[in-house]
Amino acid sequence: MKNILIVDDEEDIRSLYESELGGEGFITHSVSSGEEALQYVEQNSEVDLVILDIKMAQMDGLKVLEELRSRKTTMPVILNSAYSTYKSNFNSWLADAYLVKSANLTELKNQVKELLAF
Amino acid sequence: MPVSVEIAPPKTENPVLLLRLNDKYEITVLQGERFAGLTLSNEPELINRILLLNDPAIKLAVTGAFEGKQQMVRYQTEVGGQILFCELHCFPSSNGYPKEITCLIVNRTNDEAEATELKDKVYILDIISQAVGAFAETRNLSEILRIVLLGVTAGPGLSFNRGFVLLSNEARTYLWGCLATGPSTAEEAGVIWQDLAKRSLTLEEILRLYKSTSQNAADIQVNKLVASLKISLSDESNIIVGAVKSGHSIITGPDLTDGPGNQKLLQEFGTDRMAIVPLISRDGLQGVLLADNLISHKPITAANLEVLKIFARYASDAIENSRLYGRLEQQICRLKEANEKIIQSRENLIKAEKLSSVAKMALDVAHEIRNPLTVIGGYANACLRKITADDSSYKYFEIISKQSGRIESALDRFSSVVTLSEKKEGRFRLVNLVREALVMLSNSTNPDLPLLVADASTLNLSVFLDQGLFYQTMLVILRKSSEMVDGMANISVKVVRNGETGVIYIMGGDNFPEFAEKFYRDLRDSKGELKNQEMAVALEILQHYGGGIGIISENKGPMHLYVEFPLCKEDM
Repeated sequence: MKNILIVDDEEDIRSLYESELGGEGFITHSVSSGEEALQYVEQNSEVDLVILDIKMAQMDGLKVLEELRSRKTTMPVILNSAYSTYKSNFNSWLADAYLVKSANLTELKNQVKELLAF
Repeated sequence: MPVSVEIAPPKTENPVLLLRLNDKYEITVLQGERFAGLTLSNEPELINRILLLNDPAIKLAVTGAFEGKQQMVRYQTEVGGQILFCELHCFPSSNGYPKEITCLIVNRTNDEAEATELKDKVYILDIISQAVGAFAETRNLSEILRIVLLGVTAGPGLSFNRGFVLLSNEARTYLWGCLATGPSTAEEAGVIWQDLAKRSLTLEEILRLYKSTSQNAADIQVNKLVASLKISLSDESNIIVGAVKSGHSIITGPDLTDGPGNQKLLQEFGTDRMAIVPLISRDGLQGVLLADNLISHKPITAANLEVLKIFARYASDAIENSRLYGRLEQQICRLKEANEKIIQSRENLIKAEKLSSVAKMALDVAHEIRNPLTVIGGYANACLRKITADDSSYKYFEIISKQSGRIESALDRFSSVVTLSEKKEGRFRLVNLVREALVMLSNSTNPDLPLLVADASTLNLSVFLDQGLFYQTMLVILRKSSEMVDGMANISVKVVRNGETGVIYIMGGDNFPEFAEKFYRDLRDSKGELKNQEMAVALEILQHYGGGIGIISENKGPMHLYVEFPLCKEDM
């Protein structure tokens, strides 16, 4: 079973993703900030993939991503934002995928499966 | 008692003649047989040519003396090709003979020559003083040159027939014909000189006259001639170049100079007798002043040359001042333009800031909408999967899902139009910026990407600047580079660190070894001005962020173009 960490400051989003990805057979965990995400990854080596929101209070998703990459972690990261404009930010290129939030979660699910070779 | 007054000629070395009137005048030399180097005895013809008894003024003086009144008359005569200035004193007979008078001829030739010389010197000084005064009143180079030439050719002082001014270019590599004055033929000369002689004008008046007419008709030919002249200062065979390089004024002529240089002069100016005076100011070579007597063939003397030299010294300083003033004016003009550009940029910035704030707000609103929309639509979709179509709620969830999809599409369209144009000045990774600029350059018509080389040590180098302005600058430079090397594929870009600066090398590769030099040379025109506005703005942006552009050779290899920016302090 693959472990997915969902990082988003919107509780309802976290809840939706947990429910939808859980339904696809993944084990999901969620945190509401960048700092918590880093802490979680450090303490839980079983995380296989991170779904990361960008615009969050305090530490934003791009910083989290930069930090994760500097720790030489190889786990796939999907940036998932309500903004499409961060696509042109080179820091976002460190992610394995960039998806704009959508009610249709098919693309997100497909991307997760592809990255985890599920 | 009547008093008898004896009038007798004074004791003198000058000739004293006795005139006796019978049927005609009989002349006897009483004293002083030599006059102006000539022997008068037994030379009636010579005496007649000196005395000029047929001249009405002399006739009047002689008649007066025969009538008992002492007379004096001054006149001019020519004997043996020599002009003599004479003063004739006629005395009635001391013995009371009514048919005899005594005449004393005084040679005033030397006095007259001295007076003429003095008068000429005064005139020359006056011309120089008027010219210097006129120089002080103008900074206009054309006017200064006009004064120089009129001073050289005006009146009986310097009185050259023609004058030419050739100026040196800024780099002092050649002389170019600038302005000339004077007639080209004897006919033209006759018209001009008669006209000026009639008017008897001062230099100031002549200058005024010239200002009131656009161009003197007689000057057209000489100006055509001078405009065709461009003399390389490396042409050592040219006699003008020789004079200019040595800094010495010379008079050319077949007896003074010889060789191909003279022939050239003859071809160009129609004469090989010419005064050449370098125009050298405190700042160095300004040009050369040439003067000749093509029409009158009057020899150019060493004294003429000396006067020209004095005149040239003042003229050189005036030309230098005018050129400095011109450069200053240009700089002021450039500053004004730059200032206007800054004002314009500031206005654009304010406009952009306003637009940016609106766009940012709109995007924030969009974000605020998209999150709940994702949740609503997402749950609606989840519900739809969990219930069957015959469920009474199915239709409602279907409507929610469909409508949230519509809003999402609208938000996508909106986001693509209102791109995030927030204030971009900040700290950026140099390599990322360069990479992004290169990606921007790549488009459907130009799909090739230049090779970007950056080693690991440069990846974290950051610069503080406006991202948008950086792209603008790099795109202008990269686009121009690609034009010069036939496409982006022929360029490679390297990012390196050089002390406190991040350096972006743009290289043309083996096929274009001279690309960088050509690029750099092509930036400015012959006057040092940037050729295009886009590049001017790019360089201003570079300058604004303390950066620069230049060419450099790595390990004595071909030259590379480089653009540099100061690195953020944290990276040092």
